[in-house]
Amino acid sequence: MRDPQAGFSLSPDATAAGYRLAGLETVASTNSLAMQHARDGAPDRLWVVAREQTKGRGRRGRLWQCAKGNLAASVLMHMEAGTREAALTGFVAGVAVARTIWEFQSTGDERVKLKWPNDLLYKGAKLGGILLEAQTLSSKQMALVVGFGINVAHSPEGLPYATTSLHDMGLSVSPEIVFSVLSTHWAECLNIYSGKTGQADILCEWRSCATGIGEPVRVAAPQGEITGIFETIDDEGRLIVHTMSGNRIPVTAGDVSF
Amino acid sequence: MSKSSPSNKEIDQNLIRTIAELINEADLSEIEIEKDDFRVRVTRSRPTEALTYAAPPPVVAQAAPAAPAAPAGAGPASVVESAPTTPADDLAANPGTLPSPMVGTTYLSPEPDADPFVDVGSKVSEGQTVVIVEAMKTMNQIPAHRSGTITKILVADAQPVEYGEPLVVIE
Repeated sequence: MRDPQAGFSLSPDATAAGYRLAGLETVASTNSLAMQHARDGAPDRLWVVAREQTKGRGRRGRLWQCAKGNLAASVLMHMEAGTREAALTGFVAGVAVARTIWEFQSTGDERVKLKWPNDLLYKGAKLGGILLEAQTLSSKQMALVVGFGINVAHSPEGLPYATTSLHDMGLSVSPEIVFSVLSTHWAECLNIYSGKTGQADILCEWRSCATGIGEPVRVAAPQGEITGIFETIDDEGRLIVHTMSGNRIPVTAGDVSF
Repeated sequence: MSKSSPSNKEIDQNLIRTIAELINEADLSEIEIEKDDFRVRVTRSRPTEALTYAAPPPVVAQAAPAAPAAPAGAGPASVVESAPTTPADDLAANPGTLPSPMVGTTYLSPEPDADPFVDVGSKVSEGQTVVIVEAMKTMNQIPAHRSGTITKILVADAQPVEYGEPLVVIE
C-alpha cells in the first residue's frame, strides 16, 4: 500500500508535543502549501514535507532547488503578530537544524555552521537554508512558516557559491531520517525558546554555531554596503558590524560575505 | 528641532550624539530608544537633523497602524506637531493608505521575474497580499487592509522602508 505520508513520519517526541504531518511526494513549495493551510484555518504545529519541490523559493524569491533525495520541510506556527518574534524564531530554526546535522556527524568531524541570517554551511559550502514567511491572520495573530531546505543526496549545481550535501560529507542518511530528527530538535528548541531565559539561551547557542564572528565582514544591505568586523548577533538577532570608524551598526537585512 | 523636557530626567547629550552618529552611518531616517519611562526618538530629515524628545508615557508600537501620525521617511517633514500640511500628511490621513507595519525592504512580486502582486488599477480584496516587506530574515506578506482598487504604489522593488511609510493606496 502506498504510504499516505510519502514515507515521512514525525519523531515520537514531535508527535507527543502536538505536531502533525502532511507528507507529500511532490509539491510546488512546502512553504506556500503550509501558508495556504494557515489561510484555510489550519491550527499550528503542522509540518509539510515533500520528496520533491518544483518551485522552491529562497530569500527574495530566489529559486531553491530541491531535487528528489533532498529534504524540503516547512512548519506552520501561529504566534502573536510582531517582527521580533518572527526573527527570533528564525534563530530557533537555525539551532534546530544545526543540532540535527550534528546527530549524524562524527565527533572528530568539523561541525556544520550557521551563517547569518539563515544559511547552513559545511566547510564554507552551502548545505541548506531556512526561509521564514509571515502573514497576518488577524490584528493580533500571524502565521509564521519556517521552511528548511537541506541538501541530503545532491549538491545543487550552477550556483554562484559552493554547495555540498550530506552525501558529499560522507553521511549516508535518507531524507526521512533527517526529517524525523529535525522534528525532534525543532520541538525541543522551540520548547527551550519558550522558557524563561529561552531567547537568550537560543541566541547564545546560535552564536556558538555561527561562522564569521570576529572576522571581517561585508554586508550588501538595502541602504548600501557596510564593511567592518562581524562583532556579534545582538539580543534582537541583528548582525552587529563594528566599522573602521569605531561605530557599531546593527543590520537587519542584507547579504553577508566574509 | 523640537524639544519637550523628559520629566525629571537629565538628557544625556552624549547618548543623543552617539545616536545621531549611528543614524548617519547606518543611513537610517529614524531611530527610537526606550528605557524605563524615558524615550528618545531621533529622526533625520536631510540635509539637517531633527531631534525630537518625547515625554512619557511611551507609545506602544502597533503591528499594523491604521494611520500613523507621522510617516517617517516619507519626506523632509519632521515629526514636530506644527508641521505644515504636505502630501505625506494627506497620505497619512487617507484611510486608503496602507502603511508599512515594520522597517524593512519591499518586494512587489513573489519572485524576481514574476508578475507583481498588484498594479495600479488592480482590484484587491481585503487580506490579499499586495507587497512583501523583508525584515529580520522574514518575508512578511502584507495584506490589503480593505477591498478596493489600487490607485497608488508608493514603493519600488527592493526599496528600504521605514515603519509607517505608505506602501500603497487602496480606494
